[in-house]
Amino acid sequence: MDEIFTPRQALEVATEMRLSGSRRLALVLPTTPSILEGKSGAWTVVGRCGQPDVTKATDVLRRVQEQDVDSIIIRTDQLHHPGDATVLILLEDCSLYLSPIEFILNDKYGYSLVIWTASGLSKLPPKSSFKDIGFHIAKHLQDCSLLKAAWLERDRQALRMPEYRCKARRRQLRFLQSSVANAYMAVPSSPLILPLLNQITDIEGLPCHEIAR
Amino acid sequence: MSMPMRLAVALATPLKILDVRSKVIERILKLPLTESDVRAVRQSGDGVRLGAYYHWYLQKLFVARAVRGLDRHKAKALINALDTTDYSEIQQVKESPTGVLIAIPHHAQYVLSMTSLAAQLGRSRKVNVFYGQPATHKNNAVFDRLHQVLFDSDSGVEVIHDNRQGLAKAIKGLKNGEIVFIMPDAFQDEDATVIIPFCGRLMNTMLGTAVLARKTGSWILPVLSTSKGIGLGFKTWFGTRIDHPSQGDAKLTPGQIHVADYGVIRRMFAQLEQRMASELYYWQNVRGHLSLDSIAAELASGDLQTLLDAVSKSALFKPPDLVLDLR
Repeated sequence: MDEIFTPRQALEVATEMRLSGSRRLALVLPTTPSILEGKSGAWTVVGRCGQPDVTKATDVLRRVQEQDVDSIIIRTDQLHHPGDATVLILLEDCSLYLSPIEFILNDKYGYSLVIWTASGLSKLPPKSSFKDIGFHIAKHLQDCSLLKAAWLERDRQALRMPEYRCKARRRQLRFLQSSVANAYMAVPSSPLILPLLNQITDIEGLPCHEIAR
Repeated sequence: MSMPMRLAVALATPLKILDVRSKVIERILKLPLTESDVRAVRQSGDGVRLGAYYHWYLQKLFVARAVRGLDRHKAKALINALDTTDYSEIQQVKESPTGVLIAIPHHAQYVLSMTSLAAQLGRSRKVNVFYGQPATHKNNAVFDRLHQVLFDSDSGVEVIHDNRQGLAKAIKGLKNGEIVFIMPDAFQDEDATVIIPFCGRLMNTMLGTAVLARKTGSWILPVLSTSKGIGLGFKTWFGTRIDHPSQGDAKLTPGQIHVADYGVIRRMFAQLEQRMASELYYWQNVRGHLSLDSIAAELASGDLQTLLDAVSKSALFKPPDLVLDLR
């Protein structure tokens, strides 16, 4: 690719679309210094909470139901935690979890999706197929890595991977088992141990979506 | 060979007061540190300076080089010259009617401590030194090399690797009252470990030492190599004997036995922690242990039932809302 279509350019084009009358736009942008430094103006920004002017995805969905929220920027690269990214997509070479907010805004609330990619904007009209949305968001995340060091969320994307989540689950289970052992190591004959260990075994039995290849 | 080496280490002692990073020194020592490593080293004891870690690494390099080039006579002379250990404390090991597990972590001159102690004990008891095979643990080639040089078939010291045959041999040996050296801070599969609090962080460790003690009726002696003097000297420290509380207790369930094994491992590392905490930079795992990624220090306590309920409902353990196959 000779020249990358920058996220800043994407914001300018989408702002033009909004100013020329397009309603209900959801713009998917990567987290870069130029995007963070720029003013988001009339856009409502969805991303990881705790940042200035950023709204939680669930809060935005509540507002969408109650009032007209015209234009939304989604920093989907920030929505990678298990509680934020709950749609699993299976691709040829990998699998990853995506945020459901693009799917919900597009399907339920009639938002057009405008998605940054390195070669330009991908536009998806309301009621697009879930497969189309999943494909374009995956392409968006893939192209984010072309931004190299300017992509500020790059190092956190492993949290989308089913393998990573399964590993985190195993670690959590070991932590729980060890916590029980630590609490009762002075009285290993305690009858209280068994129910706790059984409950951990039950949690362990919950399905883990590690994709076999 | 030993004198110039020891002199070089002694002459490099002023390095210990250095507290700024030196890429030149790191290049010479082949020790590329990250920012996280530097931070970890500085946290590894009271007022630890980066130069102390450089100086320690220089000693390790010298020892590794020396071991590669020495014959039996010179290797024995070198180890004897550096060793200031009081071996009267191991009389209980020599006289034990049961097997004994010597649990020694990768700390300070552990290679020299292990070989020297094995030589001492091998005169009266069969000793098995149990560690990861060099095929999977490249750094352990130095052990194989040193044991080939120092121990012949009459020495009473044998190397066994941590594969299925090695484990069977260790169990058989312990049941026959032999001594097994084991390195409790090493593991191959993280999923097979438990988590314990250790020196201000949580640490993964195997229950293997406790399991071996329980299954064979052996006891555990925590042992630590410490650095002494200014030129490669070492002294081996001996902890207090640990007996497994559940040997032969048929009333315990597998879960309760697991808890008892865990308690033994905690007691063992508690002894080691007391000695290691103030000089943790001598520990091979110090950088990983104190890295930025491992900030948690405590296991869960209090109402475990409520915690388990919350975890079972947490997002990490929920199935996906939607699965889309785009293949």
